[in-house]
Amino acid sequence: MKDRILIVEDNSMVVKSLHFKLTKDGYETVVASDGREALKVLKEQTFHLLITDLMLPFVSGIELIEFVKNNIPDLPIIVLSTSTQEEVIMDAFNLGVEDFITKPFSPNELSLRVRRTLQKK
Amino acid sequence: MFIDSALEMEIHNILIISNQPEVSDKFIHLQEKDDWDIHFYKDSFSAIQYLKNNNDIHFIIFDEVCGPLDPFQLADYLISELSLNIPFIVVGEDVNEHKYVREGSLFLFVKKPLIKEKLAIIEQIIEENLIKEDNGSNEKSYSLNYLKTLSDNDEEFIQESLYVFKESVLDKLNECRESIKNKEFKNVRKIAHNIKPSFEMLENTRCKNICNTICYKATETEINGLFEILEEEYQKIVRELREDFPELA
Repeated sequence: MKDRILIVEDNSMVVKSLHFKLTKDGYETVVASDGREALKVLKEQTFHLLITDLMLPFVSGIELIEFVKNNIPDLPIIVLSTSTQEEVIMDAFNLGVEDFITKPFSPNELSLRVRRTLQKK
Repeated sequence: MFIDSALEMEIHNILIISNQPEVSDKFIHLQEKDDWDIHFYKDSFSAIQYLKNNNDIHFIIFDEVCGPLDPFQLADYLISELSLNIPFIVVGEDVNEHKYVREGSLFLFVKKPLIKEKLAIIEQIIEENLIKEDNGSNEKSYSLNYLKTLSDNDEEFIQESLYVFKESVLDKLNECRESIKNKEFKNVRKIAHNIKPSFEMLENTRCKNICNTICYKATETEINGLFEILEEEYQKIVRELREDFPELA
């Protein structure tokens, strides 16, 4: 069975690239374009990894991470960030996220970090 | 005359970060080039200390086994803290050889062992980049390098991505214009943050920088002017895309 990854991101180009690369790497992906949709999907389906942006409409990335850590603690999280979001990334790490990737991501870096995070589970 | 030309000659500084003598030794011969100055460091922290005081470095050759920062973390630090955008050559045992541009920085990955042919390629890449830098660039407003690398040249993916760029950024720019009209500057900054990666994926550094400024630095009175420049740049990219890909029109 393929590992299922939930991508939460509101930039269509980034979503398209993540979906393309992760599908090519053999994962099944589901996309939510805002935090509210992500919460709904997380309550209904099971995933092996969450990849999320931090600045999201309706429910922020930090709120989403808090929800996961409180309700689905075994679900690892990789944060998508920009290099200028140092403070927010630190907040995310303090909440227990496993890793972060800077946008736009390097294809090899993404593959490696996803593989490592899923292996650590 | 020689003295004159020597005085005029620009020195290109290359930083080698490696704690493996067998790697560093491979690059010693580069010191023989008149206009290249080679600096050796054993870890990324000591390289940062050097870069804090010397920001005219033209290339970094990074041995993957060196810590504590990996090449991406070092590149991020150099961009965000020192505003330095330096191309990297990353050498390692476990890397896939490819060229990649991230945040406007070139990354060339080379797999060890560093045999003669690979060293020649590294030297050639550095030279090409230095020439390009010296001549200034007169290139297009966009590049497909990132999308090509990401997709292994998948034409369908590239075309679809360009269409997504054209449509999604246009929607966001329209939303941005409305927000400026309504003086909702917080939303304008959010939109700039949202579309920044789209410009980065087409390697347009100018738009990326404008988005960054709107996001984090611009005052409310500066935002409108910056938005107009961003919109013009977007139109320019789309014009060039339509010329190159008529099916996008």
